[in-house]
Amino acid sequence: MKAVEIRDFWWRYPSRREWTLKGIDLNVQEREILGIIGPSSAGKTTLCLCISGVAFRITRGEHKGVLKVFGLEVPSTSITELSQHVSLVLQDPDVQFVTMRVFDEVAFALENSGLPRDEILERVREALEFTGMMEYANKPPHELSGGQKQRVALAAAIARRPSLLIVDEATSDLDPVGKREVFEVVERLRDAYRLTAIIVDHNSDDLTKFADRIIVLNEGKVAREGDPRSVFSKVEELTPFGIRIPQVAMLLAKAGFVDGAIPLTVDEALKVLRPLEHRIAVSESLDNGAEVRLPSAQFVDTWYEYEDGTIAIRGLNLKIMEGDFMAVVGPNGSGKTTMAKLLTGLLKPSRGIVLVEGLDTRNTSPSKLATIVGYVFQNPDHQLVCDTVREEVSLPLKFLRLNSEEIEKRVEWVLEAVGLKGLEDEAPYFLSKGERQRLALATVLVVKPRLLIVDEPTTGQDERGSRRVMDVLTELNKTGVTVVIITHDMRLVCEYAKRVAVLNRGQLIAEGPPKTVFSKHLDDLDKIGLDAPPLAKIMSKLAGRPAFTLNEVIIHR
Amino acid sequence: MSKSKVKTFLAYLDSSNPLLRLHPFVKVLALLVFNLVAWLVEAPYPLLAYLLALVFLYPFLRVSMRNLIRALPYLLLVAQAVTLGYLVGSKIPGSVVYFSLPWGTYVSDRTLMFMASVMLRISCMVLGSTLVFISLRDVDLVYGFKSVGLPFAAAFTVNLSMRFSMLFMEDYARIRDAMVLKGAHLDSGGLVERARLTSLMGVPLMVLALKRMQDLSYVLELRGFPPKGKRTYVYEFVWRPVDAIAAAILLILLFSTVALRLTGFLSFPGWPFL
Repeated sequence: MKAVEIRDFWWRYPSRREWTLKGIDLNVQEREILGIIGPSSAGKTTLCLCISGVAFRITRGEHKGVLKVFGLEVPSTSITELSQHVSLVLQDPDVQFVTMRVFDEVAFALENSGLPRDEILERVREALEFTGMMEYANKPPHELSGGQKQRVALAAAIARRPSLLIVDEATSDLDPVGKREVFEVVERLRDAYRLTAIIVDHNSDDLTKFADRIIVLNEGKVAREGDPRSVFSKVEELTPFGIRIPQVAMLLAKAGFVDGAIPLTVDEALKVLRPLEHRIAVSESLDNGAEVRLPSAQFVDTWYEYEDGTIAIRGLNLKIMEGDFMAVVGPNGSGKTTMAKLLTGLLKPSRGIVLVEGLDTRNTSPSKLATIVGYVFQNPDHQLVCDTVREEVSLPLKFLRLNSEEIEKRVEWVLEAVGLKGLEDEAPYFLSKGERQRLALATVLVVKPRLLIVDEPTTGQDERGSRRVMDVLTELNKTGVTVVIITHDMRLVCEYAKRVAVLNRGQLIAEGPPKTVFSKHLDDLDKIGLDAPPLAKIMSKLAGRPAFTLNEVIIHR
Repeated sequence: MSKSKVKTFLAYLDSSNPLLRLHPFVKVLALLVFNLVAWLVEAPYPLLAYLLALVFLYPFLRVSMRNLIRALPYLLLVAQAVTLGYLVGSKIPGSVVYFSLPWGTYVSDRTLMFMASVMLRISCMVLGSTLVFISLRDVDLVYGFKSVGLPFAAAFTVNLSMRFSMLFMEDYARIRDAMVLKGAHLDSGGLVERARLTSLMGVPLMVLALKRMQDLSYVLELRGFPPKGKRTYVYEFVWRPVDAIAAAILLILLFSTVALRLTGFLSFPGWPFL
């Protein structure tokens, strides 16, 4: 039976001239897991909103063609009726929370549907266990970390046991193992309750292992469609779309496997590549140029406890060196953002000391530290306050009382650096999410901070957008700026960071150059929910040491 | 290191706090009674006694006095507005007139007394409501209103408006942090400059609030709200003797206030003034 039937479907938002979706033809069978990938602005979220019926309800855009979910004509069916079959999980979990307790959040829809109390309790327990959120059942959802919030939103969706689950980039903030666990839960629900799932994700490394079928959406059209092995066997054809291609597929392409059903998991790749083992090596590259200098910032036996009693940082001792490019990684709720806020002076340590260029943050105001430390928030919307892009970028310079010539010079430089040149007179809130993220980065860069902290710089960005942001940060780092990024994206960590600090439950469990950390602590990382990128894993087994980029892999012909 | 804590609308309470175990009906009743009593009492000395009683309730109910201090800036703001209003715009006769203004208003000894009463009344309302909201979770509000006969959809809407005002405050705090990290001096400098910087924050606040409102409408629909048929309630609040005692005390307080007010005991001395 068809769960979703889409025939020559077109969609246009009321304010746009261009159609966002252009003649989509797509069928999703019952119990199928469909993965959707594509660059930013390809129409992925619009497609999800249309299938769930939300697009017709909130935007009243123009549409043509056929769109049915379990036989119901979506445009003419109420959301309430569709919601009996469909659960939609959005990327931003904050907008989805309607209660003050994780338990209540998961139970809310079940209570509304009038299920017996015992069944509600059973389903809530099961959903919280599936998503690893049982120990947070009494916490307020809006006070959890980004990844934990996404887990709660997913728990609330799966507790309803919908016939169709739509997950729109709702795993972007999850740690690697958390993401894998969510996909495993979807698989289990498919088997147990005949679930059909549509999952949108930029990270194809994980998605390809679980999806039965992948579609590549580009400029509102289905550009590629098929089972993951065949779609990703043509790496060169996919590169122009600017999507993230699984590392295994890229490695296999480099090794000469260009057609047919290619392997997509580490184990499968190892089987295929074992016969070539003697011809594969990893180049002697340095660890992204790690150098030892003076400490820019330092945590000395630092502790931080939140008002609700959560101890987010426990006895942290860490030095961030001048000119360093440090990645702070850790599972959801490990204290990464708290650590960053301690550096900015927004939070003061409950115990211990945080020093920034020798200044004790306990006695220094955040606005004074702002001349040294720049902090880019996860959500750009909290950082944008002006009517135009130019005013937005100029504002921090006006606080510094710089002359207009200097302000003009810096604004030109920073907009060029982040790729927003030409948008000076646009209103920040009408920019795309990726552009807003880069604008938020620009408002911090323009001050030329000596220590720059960026919280999840690439969340929700496609491969092209991610690379652009990371390249900007790399260029800055080359000029001597110390960069600290907080991320779950291990591929970026491996490719860009000079050093990695691994946090777990507020404690530092490993620290050092990425190659050292990923070689010596592979098992520790696995245990706490972090996963080395597939390429690093494969090359560790084949060549005895990890490779972080394809350029490091040498295949002798 | 720490006891487990429960998040309420205004604070974190130790999970062992007796206020958390009170029946939601009692909490909603307390909210009503604390405010009604403050509204009914006009005489300054009884109001002062009521205020002191409310302050005493904080330590008695194991609620941190820090929460009282949090309310002080708002009270000071209200006090300034009330003072200004009575100093420039009242005509309450008294035994002594301290000064008159060209537009016909004047300030007498009774003006000052009445002004003090109004401030005391507002303080009582703020302190009483704060005390209730410190112990109030969203489920209390929904179940409390439901127990007095309000339909679930209406009770939940009241709860949502409370919750969203909290989120609004949290957004404000985040945007303020972002401004501070851009180098804005929001706690120092001239009043005009601070007002200008604060007004800048209105833009993202409005954008976020509008976005939340739009998203919320369909998020609720997607989750089956309002329920079409019979709704299940997972919480089962049991009416205990302590709830009955608390409700009785509150009702006695309310009815005795009404009775005393009718006898004129709690009226402002000399009212009506003409």
